[in-house]
Amino acid sequence: MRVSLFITCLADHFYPEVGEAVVHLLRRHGVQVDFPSGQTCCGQPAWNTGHQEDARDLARNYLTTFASSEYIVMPSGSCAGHVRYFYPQMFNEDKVLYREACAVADRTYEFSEFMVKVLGVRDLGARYKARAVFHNNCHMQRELGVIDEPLELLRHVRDLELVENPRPDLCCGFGGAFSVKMPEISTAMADEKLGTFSPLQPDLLVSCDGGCLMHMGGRAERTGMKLKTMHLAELLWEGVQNNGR
Amino acid sequence: MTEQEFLERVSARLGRRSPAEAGRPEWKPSAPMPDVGPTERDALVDRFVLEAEKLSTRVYRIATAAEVAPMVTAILAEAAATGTVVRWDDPSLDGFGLDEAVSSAGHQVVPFRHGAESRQMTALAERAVAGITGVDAAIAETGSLVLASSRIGDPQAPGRGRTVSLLPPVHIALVRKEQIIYSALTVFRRLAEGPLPSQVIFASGPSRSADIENDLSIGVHGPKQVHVIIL
Amino acid sequence: MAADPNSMPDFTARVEKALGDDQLRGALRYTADQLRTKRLAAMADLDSQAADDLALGTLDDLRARAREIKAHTLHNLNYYLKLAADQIRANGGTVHWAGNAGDVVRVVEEIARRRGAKSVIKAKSMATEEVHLNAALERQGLEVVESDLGEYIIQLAHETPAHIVIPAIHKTRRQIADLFEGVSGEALPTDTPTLTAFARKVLRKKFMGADLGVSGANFVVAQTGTLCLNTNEGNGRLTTSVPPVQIAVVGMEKLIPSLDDLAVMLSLLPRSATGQKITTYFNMITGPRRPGEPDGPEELHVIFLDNGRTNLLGTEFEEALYCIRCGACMNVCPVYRNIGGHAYGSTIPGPIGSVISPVLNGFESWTDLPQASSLCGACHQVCPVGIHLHDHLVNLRGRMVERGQEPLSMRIALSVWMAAWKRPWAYRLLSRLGYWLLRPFAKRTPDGKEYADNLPSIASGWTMSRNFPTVRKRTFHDRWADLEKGV
Repeated sequence: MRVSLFITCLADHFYPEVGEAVVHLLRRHGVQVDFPSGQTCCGQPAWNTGHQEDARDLARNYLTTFASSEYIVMPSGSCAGHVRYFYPQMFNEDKVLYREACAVADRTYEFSEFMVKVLGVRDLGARYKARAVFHNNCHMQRELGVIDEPLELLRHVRDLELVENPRPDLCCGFGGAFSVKMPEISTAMADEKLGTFSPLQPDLLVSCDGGCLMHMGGRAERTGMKLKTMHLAELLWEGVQNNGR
Repeated sequence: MTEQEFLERVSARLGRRSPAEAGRPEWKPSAPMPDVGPTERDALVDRFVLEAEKLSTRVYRIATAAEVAPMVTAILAEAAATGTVVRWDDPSLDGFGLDEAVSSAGHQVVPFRHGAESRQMTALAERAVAGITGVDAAIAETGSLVLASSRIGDPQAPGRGRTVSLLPPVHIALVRKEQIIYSALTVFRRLAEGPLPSQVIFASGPSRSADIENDLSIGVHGPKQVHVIIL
Repeated sequence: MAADPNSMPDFTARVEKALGDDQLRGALRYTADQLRTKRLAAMADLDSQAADDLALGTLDDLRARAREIKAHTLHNLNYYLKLAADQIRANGGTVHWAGNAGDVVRVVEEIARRRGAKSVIKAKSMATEEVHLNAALERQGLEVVESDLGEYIIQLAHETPAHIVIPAIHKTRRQIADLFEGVSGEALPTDTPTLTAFARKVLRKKFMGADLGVSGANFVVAQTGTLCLNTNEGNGRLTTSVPPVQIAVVGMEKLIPSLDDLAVMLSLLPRSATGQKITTYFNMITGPRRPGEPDGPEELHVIFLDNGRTNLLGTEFEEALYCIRCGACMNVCPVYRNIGGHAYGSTIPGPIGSVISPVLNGFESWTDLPQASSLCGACHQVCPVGIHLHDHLVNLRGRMVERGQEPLSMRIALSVWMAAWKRPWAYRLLSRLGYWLLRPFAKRTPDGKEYADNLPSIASGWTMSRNFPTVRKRTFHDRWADLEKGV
């Protein structure tokens, strides 16, 4: 089985270790990983700010870059959501591109979704000591319908105490450019979200999206809240190494 | 704006040259409405009672017509001061000796008669200590009473009024077991046979509000108590 | 109420005020959470009842039916408007057509003049809020009294609703008692029964003396010309039963074809709004008092309102006219629960308000609102008629970019950024540039993690309240060569 990695702009620039973790974990399960170098960004920032033509151009680049990929896997529920939910909509007036968009969208997966749904693995053999809470990003739960997969993977991590997220429906306030355009509202949302974790006293916040982690992590750091943030793939890969496997 | 102008603007937006262009559209939902709920009488009564009581309606089940009047006077004795009691002037309340019983309990009974003067009747209802009505149906799924301003399908029926079940602080309704149906759809289907009464109310429990600090309060504008006697 | 964007502080100032009001935010969150929890329970119950053939359908079934009903009605709106009007007239009512807010005011003023009316009692109606009816009538010397308990409190306080279902949610019982004391002139205890009883007594007098009763409608059944109203307090019944004249102001999208369709909509509205299976009162009005009926209004007037609604018809935003004003989208919205209705400022706040307000007003106003969303999609998930609210917010942003309604700094930054990212080589060059640009701002946490907390220009929006990670010296693109070798 061959997987093309779409690293996503956030992980590429800020969290390259997440990409490395994904590659290692996929290889451990016998997957051949390639990395098409023509990739840039899925176009979500352009689309969400109303720059729809730019977003279509970026989407076309994605469609070309991954035209021959068997599977496309990325460490972001939000970007995967954008590709699967919005790409077909974007091209619904162009039959050829629409069909291409649907085809590529069908082969596009978020990392945890791919592990559980396609590879059928739940226990990656990881060990990680922490009291963790999982934040499911909005587009992953609502556009992809991926809810239980990351939790399944976490439940199988030895020594990990997983506490239930009391309001998994509540957005962290990131929202891409929204966080910069409307910083006061966005920050109030982060505070409310982080506030829902406080009574649980977790020491680790896990998510499948760099954006949410950057946002909540950045706010927690600024306010002095003791909460480490980590991408699920990174936790699993460190956990596998901890376990000496 | 005139009707013509208004409709032309709407039609133009819908890509029509004139409001009449498309003609009468055919409306057929892709799936027919399902028949739902039990039809056995006892199941319907049980469900109605369950739902009505959840909404703070007080329900009394009686077996014979002879028990209606004593039940009404007992409710009045407990729930209302002595005074005017308004009621529908409707066959559904006839034959129980209601007026006699309520009068001998010290109240003044005023039926809402067909042709009565409206302002005067409304003022009477406003002063009344209780209002007694029948129902056109009772909905088991939601514990609702269906109260029409005239008998469904018979707009020339005797008087009922909109305010008997609305203005007095206590509403007493007499429901016959066979009037309990499962869902609102059944009522709508019956109404669709027309002509519709000028007003049909589905009343589900006493008037309520949560407008003050989310705190539930009963009896804001409508009745504070709803008593249902099932015969 | 004053939903005039030109007469209020700008959006940023309104947001700042709301965010600084802890009591408002606490009350908003509490109410929103309560309504959300009740809605969830009601929908779970609906689904389980449907599984036992005890309900017309699951939420998904009913949502699909409702969408079908709404789509069909809107595509044939001219026909159904005419049908409803003919039926209302046949039932003894009078129909008026209002192209804009001014038309509604003129019609009501004309009726008031003809009747020699002095006082108006109102049931809660968003359509009359939209056209600022109260203020207009008061200018004509009429007394206008809101009869919904929450609206009454808000009216006494000279404010606008903070929540569409529970308008006075931000008022404490102490504040409410103070407002009522202003009316009664005597001190009142602050318990709910006393306050409710006081309002009942005062408003009952207003009802009995009112010359006109003004309401909206939740649905209008075209087939029979029936106006439908959902209320809990009973004020909707009083407004339509006691005063000699009833006037209903109805947005033209409230039409549904038949009574069968009403069964579907009625299954969805109360459950979505408050988690009730049905509101305490569901009121179907088919004409004024008939000859011989002992009570009820002598006249019934229905005013169909356009006021910008045709701007949505036949466009990509048409679906927003499916809205049945349940408020469910607001109760789950993480933005709304933090800033509340006052900050939005539009008649309808929250996600649906952010979608319809700019379109109703021809993109001339409320253009900030579509930006005020993280696009989390919680609104679409709960919408009983399945409006793709977050898609519409994105599309609105698109229209605004096309119309040049975007801050210059943002436009320049995004244009350069996106132009570069379309070319893989330029993307990688920008990564390198990003690394060097962030160098002067880089700080280190005790455990060695790099961050920036004082970025300039647009990025200061982020760092004013949050740390920002620095671009890594070796991006993933740079690292791939090593990974590839590691095979």
